Amino acid sequence: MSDILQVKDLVKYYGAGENLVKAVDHTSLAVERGRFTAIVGRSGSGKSTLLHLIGGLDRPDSGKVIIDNQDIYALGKDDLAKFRRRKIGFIFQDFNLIPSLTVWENIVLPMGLDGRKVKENEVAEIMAKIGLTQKKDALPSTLSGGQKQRVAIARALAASPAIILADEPTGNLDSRTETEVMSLLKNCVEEYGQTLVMITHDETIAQMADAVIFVEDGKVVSQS
Amino acid sequence: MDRKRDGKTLVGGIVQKKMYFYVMAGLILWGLFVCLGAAFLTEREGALRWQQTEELSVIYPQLKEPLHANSAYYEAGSRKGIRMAALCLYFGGIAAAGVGYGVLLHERKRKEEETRQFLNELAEQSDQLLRGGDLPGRIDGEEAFADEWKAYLGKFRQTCHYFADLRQRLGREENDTKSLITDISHQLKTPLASLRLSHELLVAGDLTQAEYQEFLEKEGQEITAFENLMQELVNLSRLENNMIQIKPENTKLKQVLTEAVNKVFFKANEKQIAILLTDEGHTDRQGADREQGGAFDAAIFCDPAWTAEAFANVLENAVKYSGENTTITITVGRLINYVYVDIEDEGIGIQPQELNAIYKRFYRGERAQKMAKDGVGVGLYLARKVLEEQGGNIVARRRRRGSCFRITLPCGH
Repeated sequence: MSDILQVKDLVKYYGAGENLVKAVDHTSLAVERGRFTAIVGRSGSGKSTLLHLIGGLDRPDSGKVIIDNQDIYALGKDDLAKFRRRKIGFIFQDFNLIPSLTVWENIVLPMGLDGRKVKENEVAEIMAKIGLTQKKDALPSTLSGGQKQRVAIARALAASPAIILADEPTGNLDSRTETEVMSLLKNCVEEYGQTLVMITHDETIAQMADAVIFVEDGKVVSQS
Repeated sequence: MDRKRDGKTLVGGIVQKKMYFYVMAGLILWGLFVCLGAAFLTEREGALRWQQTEELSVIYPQLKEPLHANSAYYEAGSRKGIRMAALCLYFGGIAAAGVGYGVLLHERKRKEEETRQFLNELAEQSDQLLRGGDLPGRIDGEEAFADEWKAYLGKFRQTCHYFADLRQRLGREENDTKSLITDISHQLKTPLASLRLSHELLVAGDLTQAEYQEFLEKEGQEITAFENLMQELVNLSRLENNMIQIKPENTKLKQVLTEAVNKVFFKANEKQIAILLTDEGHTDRQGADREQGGAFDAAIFCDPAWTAEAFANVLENAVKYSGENTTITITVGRLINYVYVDIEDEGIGIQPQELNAIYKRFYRGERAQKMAKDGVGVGLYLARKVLEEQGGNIVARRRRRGSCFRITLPCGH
């Protein structure tokens, strides 16, 4: 059971007939608690769809996704939304920060939505670790790409979810910022004992992961 | 037995014992208050009536007798009513308190039963956990539990996860140790076999003087190689068994890098390989950090000796797998929380499918094996371990010619 995430025979097809796209084709995989797993595939390999299904952002045609002992697609729509908020942290390629909220407000937003009490000390500690303390009251529009992604990382960590899902987190960043953001992400995830699943097409940053899963045409082709 | 007691303690927290006392006292006080109030009112009414009776008796002397009798009767009736009311209130209060107490007892019993059930379930699940089964899932009707219980349940689950992780880690460590022993013995077999061969040939003695000398020399070489191998294995196993303490401290990138380059300098010189250094300075164009100077002078937080060893391992590979008259370029740069060191060579490069395998213990690439016979396949493994231990990283990129390793380390304070 220390597999925090289990994907069982997951299927998601788009279109029909000749246009049928097998985005996720009978995929099964497991992710151990506290490890950093990279899912690597070329664009169009179905890896993003897979991550969306794991995160409960989409519904599969069949198959199961079990996170922290809970089959997420056995939940109703509202319960799934609640589960997602509480147990899954997301880091997206395009950051997904709310433009009208400050850095601090963006970070504590998921906890606020969930009606949880914000532990200010812990959040401040995470911000210091990630080097955002001085940008606490800044608006996202004044931040650089790397800073925005660091806010997104802090947001994911602060809510202490069961698992963090990252979709090409450094896709919009230059090589040096990518190094910075990936190092931070990896070290923070380790420090806070978090589980990270990251989607990427870049085999270089996948080398940082403890485990690498290669997907191709919606199928897992190898695991190492 | 203990479990039962725990259950009671739990219930005690939910139903407060002092409540009985306050309820009873409240009821009795209320009864007294009502009776006294009623008595007071009746007495005043009675006094008024007597006064009226007296006045009426003066006006109608012939009615004095029946008026008096009427008032006396009324007064008696009132007093009796009050007594009855007081009795009713008294007994009513007792009855109400009794019923309340009964309900409380019942509730308490129910909660106790529920607690016992809950604790039994937990006990069963922890037994299962200790036996190595799956972690407990949800308990039936858990949503209806009091917040206090939910908190206990949360803590219990945390403990469960901790144990499950621990068990997994132990298993992994055991496997690691086993595979380390297998790997090491495998590594030792080959050089030992060739040493034995030259030794046996020497012992057989059917050799010319020149051959004899050659085998002796070869034996010497084998012994040196064997010693090198042993040294690497000793380092490796010490690191694996956490016998080596990596102690990060504030140090300078310059110092660590210089030490590493010194270690490979002679080997590079032999092959006429030039080692160049480029300093890209600070990345943050906005100048958030006012630290002066290039990245080469940056403070880093790491164990100087082991980090130099890690850098040297990467540099050694660069020298080993590059041709003569090539260049190794070291590029350093300062990021916000990290420094990076790029080590780029013009060597044989890494096959794309090998990118993830090169950090594995005893892994050697196909072309690497062909190019250099000596080598155990622990250099990058060790480097990565040392770097990750200190919050750093190492990744390899393929270049048009050769490969480029990017190493990151956290900045010092």
